[in-house]
Amino acid sequence: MAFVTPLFLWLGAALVGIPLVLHLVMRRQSRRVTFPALRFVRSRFQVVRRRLRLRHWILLILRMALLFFLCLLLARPSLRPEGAGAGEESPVAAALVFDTAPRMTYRHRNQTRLEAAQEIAEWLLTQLPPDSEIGVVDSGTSSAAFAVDRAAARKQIGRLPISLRPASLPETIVKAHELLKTSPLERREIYVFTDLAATAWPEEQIAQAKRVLEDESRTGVYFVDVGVPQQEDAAISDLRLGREVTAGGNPVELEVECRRFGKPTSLTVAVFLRSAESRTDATDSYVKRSQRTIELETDGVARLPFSLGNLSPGIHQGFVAMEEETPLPANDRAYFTVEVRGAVPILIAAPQPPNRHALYLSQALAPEAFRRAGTATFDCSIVTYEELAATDFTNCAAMVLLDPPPLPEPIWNRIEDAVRSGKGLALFLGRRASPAEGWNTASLRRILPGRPVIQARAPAGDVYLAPRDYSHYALSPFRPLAGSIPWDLFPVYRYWLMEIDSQSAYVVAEYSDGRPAILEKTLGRGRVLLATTPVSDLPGEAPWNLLPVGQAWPFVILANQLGMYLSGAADIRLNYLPYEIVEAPASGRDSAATFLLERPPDIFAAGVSPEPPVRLQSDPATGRVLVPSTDRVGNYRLRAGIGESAYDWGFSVNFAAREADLTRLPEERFREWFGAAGTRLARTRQQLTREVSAGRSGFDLVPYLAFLFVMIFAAEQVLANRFYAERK
Amino acid sequence: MSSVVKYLKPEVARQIKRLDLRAEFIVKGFLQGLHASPFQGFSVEFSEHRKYVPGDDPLDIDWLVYAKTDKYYVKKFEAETNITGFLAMDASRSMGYTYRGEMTKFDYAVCLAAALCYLMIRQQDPVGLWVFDEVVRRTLAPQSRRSQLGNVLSVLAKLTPTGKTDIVGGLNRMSGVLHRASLIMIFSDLLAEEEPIIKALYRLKHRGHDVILFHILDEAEVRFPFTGMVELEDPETLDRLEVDATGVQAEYLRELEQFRERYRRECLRAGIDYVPLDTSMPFDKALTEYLLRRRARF
Repeated sequence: MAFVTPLFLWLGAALVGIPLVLHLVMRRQSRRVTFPALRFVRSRFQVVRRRLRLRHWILLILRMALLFFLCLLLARPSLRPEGAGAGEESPVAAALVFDTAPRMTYRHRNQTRLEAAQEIAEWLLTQLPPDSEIGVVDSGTSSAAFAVDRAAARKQIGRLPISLRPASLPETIVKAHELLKTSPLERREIYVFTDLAATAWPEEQIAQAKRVLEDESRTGVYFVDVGVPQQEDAAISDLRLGREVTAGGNPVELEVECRRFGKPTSLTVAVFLRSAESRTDATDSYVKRSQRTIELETDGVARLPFSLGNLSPGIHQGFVAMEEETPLPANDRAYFTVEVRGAVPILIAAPQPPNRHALYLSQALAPEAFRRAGTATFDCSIVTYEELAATDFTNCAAMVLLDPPPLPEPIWNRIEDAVRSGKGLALFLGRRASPAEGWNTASLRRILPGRPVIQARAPAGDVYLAPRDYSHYALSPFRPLAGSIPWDLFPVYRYWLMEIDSQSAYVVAEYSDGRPAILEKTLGRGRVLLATTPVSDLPGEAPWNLLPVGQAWPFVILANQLGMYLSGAADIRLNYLPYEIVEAPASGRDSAATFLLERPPDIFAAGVSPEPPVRLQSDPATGRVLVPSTDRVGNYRLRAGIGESAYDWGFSVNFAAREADLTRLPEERFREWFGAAGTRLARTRQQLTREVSAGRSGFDLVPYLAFLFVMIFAAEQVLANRFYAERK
Repeated sequence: MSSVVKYLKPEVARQIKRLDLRAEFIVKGFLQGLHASPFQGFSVEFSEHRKYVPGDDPLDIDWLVYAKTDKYYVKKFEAETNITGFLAMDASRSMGYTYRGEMTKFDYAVCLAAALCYLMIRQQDPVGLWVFDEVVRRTLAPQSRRSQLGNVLSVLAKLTPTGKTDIVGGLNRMSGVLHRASLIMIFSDLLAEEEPIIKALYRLKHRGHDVILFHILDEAEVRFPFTGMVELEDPETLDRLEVDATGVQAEYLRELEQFRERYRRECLRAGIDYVPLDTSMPFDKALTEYLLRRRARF
C-alpha cells in the first residue's frame, strides 16, 4: 500500500490515542457530592455499571476508529505496484507494443486494426509525462530501442510495417520489457495493442511473459484491445499439394482450408493459373481453371479439393481465391507453384531375361496402360548387366539394379560418378549377390550403405516389412495409414544380413524381426538406396518374398516413391513460408549467368508501381541460386537466358495457416492469465486513461475508506444518541 | 394571584428572616389565594360559629359577629371545632441537605410547619411539637394560645438537623405518649428502611390518630441533576460511591419513584394522607392538604 500524504498516518497514530486517554483521564476525575439518597443509587449500581461500561467501550472504539479512518483517509492510501514512483506526472519509460500480423489489416468501420492502434498510440504519446522515454516495439522486428524523441516515436508508429511472420505477443512483451530495463527511469509502463486473436497469444508462451511481468511488479502493463468482438470474415489458408512435382501427365491435386468467422455464408472459391505466356504476376495474367461453391456454418471450417490436369511440362504457378470481398483481403488467397515433368527416365538393370526380371518393378513404375496413354510417371529403360557397361547414364534420373551380381570395378566407378553428379541408385539384392565377399571392394564400400554378409531365412513367412516410422519421403504416402498396412500379407522368406556402414548409412525401413530392410546413403549430390531382398523373382523360382505379388498395392506405392526420391523430386521445394531462404536449382547453367527474380507486389502497399526484377548469381559450389528476400506473399519467378535454353523456375510464398485465424481469445481467459500481473484492459481512450490513472496511483482506497468513515460516524451518532436519550 | 403565588414560593418566603413573620406571610398568601380560588366558600373564620337556635345559652352569642352581620351566631365549643395537631419534625442530618445551598429540606419543613402552626393557632387549634432524629430532641405540649405560635417557632428556629435518622423510634415514642386522637403531621425525607416506618405509621392510625405524611425531598433528590463522574457521599453514614451520574440517573429515578409509590400505596391503604414534596414546590399544596383533612374530620 502507498500513501500520497503519509504525514497524516503519524498524526492519526497520535490522535487515535486521545479518546482512550480522555476515557481514562475522565474516569479518574470525579467531584464529591453530598447526597442523602445514596441508597437508591447503590441498589442498581452494579447492573448499571456493567451496562455503562460496555457502552463506554463501544463508543470509545467507534470514536477511535473514526479518528483512525479519518487520518487514513487524509493519508490517501492506494494499492500500487512496488516501486511505482509517487505522483502521476513523473516521467515513465514506456514501451508501445504493436501486433503487426497480417490479420491486423482487418478493416472495420473504414479503419484497419493497425490504424486503430496507431491512432490510440499517437494520442497516448500526448498523454505521457514530459521527459518520458518511449520505445516502439512491433512483433515483426527482432530488436527494440527507445526513440530519440516523441516526434520520432510518432513517425515510427506511423510507419509500422505488416510482418508476414510475426513473433507472438508474449515474446514481444518480453522484448519490450528487456528494453525498459535499460532505462534509468523508475517508473515503467508497457502498452500492448492487440486484437486479442488467440494465435497471437500461444498458451505455452504465456507463462514466460507472466513470469517477467510478475517479477518486475513495478512495471504497469496496459492492454489496448483494438479487435472487433463480432467480426465477419472468410479465409483461404493451408494450401496443400498432393505433389509439388508431378510427372507423366498426372493431374495436380491440391486442397485448401476455407474458414468462416461469423454468420453462415456461401463461398465461391476458384483456382487460377498463370498463363504460360505471361511475363508478369499481374492478376490479369491468371486464368481461372476451376471453381467450387461451399456452404459454411457459423465459424465453420472445411477443406476444398481441386484437381488440375492437362498441364504441360514446366513450372506452373497459380492461386486459390474466393470471389467475395472480405474485411481482411490478406487471407482471401493462397498461392502455389508446381512443376510438371515428363516421365522420369529410370534405367533398370536386371539379369537375363531382363524384361521378365524387371516385370514387377517396371509395371509398378510404369503400368502398361499408362505407358500407352502417355501418362506414366516413369519411363523405364531395361538393360542386362552385360549391356550396362555400354549404357549411357546421362539421360536417366535414377538407376535400379535388380538382383545384381558383384559387377566389374569400372562399372561401379561409372555408377559412382553418376550418383555423385546427382543421380539416384537403388539396389535390390537377391540370390545373385553371392558370394558376399565380392561386395567388399573399396569402390563398393564408398558407394553402398553396407555390404551383404550372409543370407537370413524365414521359411515360416513370419518376417515381413515393418517400418518403425514413416518419416522418410519414400514412406510418406503410408503415414495416414500407418499401423493398418497389411505388410504381413507380403512375407519375406529370405534376405541379406548386412554389415552397415555406420558412418554414412541409415536405415529407412526394417523387417518385423528388427533387421534392416532398406538402407540409404548419400553420395555426392545423389543418394543410394539398398534393399536387402529382391523384387525380381521369376515364377518357378523359390521366391525370396511376396512383396510384388498379388494385390501388391503397398509395393506399387513404395516403388513409385522410391523412384521419385531417387530422381530428386523430394529435394524440390516450390512452396515456402515468408522469410525462408530459397535455393533454386541452377545446375547446368553457366555460373556466370545472371538470374532475374520477379517478386510479387506487396499486398500491404497499395498504389506502388511494379518493381524491376532483382539480379541474382548462382553459387558455383552448390550450383544453386540463393534467393535472400522472401518478404512478400505471392508467386516469385526466376528466369535466365532466352530461347530453348532459357531457365524458368518459380516458387510461392504463403502465410502460415495460423495467420489467417481471427479467433478471439475470451476476455475471461485473458484475465485468468494476467490477473496476477494486474490485467488492465481498455478499448477506448477513456478506459485507457482510467486504467493508467489507476495503475499509476494504484487502486484508490479513498472512496471505500470514506464510505467506512461515514458508516462508523453514523453508528457512533446513533448509538450515542440512543445511550444519552436513555439517560435523559 | 401572582402575589399569592409569590408568597407561597419557598425562595420568596426564605427572604423573611423571622420565622413568625415568614409563617404569617405564607398563610396570608394562602388565604388570599383561597378567596380567589374554588375554595372560596371554604371560610376558615366562620367554621368556628353556628346560627343561634332557641335553647342556646345567650352568653355564647358572639357579639362581634352580630356587629358585623346583624345576625345571631354562637361560638362552637373547642371540642366541636378544634383538632389537636402535632408537628412531628425529622431533624436527622439528611434533612439538612440542600443542592442549591439555599433552603434545606429541614428549612422547608420548618417553614411549612410554622405556616401550619400559624394557621392552626388562628383556628384556635391546639398545636404541639415533636422533634426527633435518633432521639427525641424537643417536644412542646399542644396549646391553642397565640403564645404557642411563638413557642413553636422559637424552638423550630433554633433547631439544626444533626444525628442519624430514626423515624420509627420517633413515631413509636409519639404513639406511646399521645392518648388523645390527634392530627399528626410528619415532616421527614423518610430516607430509611421503608417497612418499619410503614408499620409505625400503621400503628399511629390504629391508635385513632389522623396522619398527614409530608414527604420532603430536596429537588436534587427528586431530579438527580448531576452529570459526569461524581462521588456521592451519604451525610449520615458517610458512605461514598463513585458513579457516572448521567448513566445512573434513569435507574435512580426509577428507584425513587418506586420508593414514593410504595409510600403512596401504603398510606392510601392506611388512610394516611401522603403529600410528596420537594424543596422547589410552593407551600400551598401542603397547606391545602391540611385544610382538606380538617374539613373531612368535621
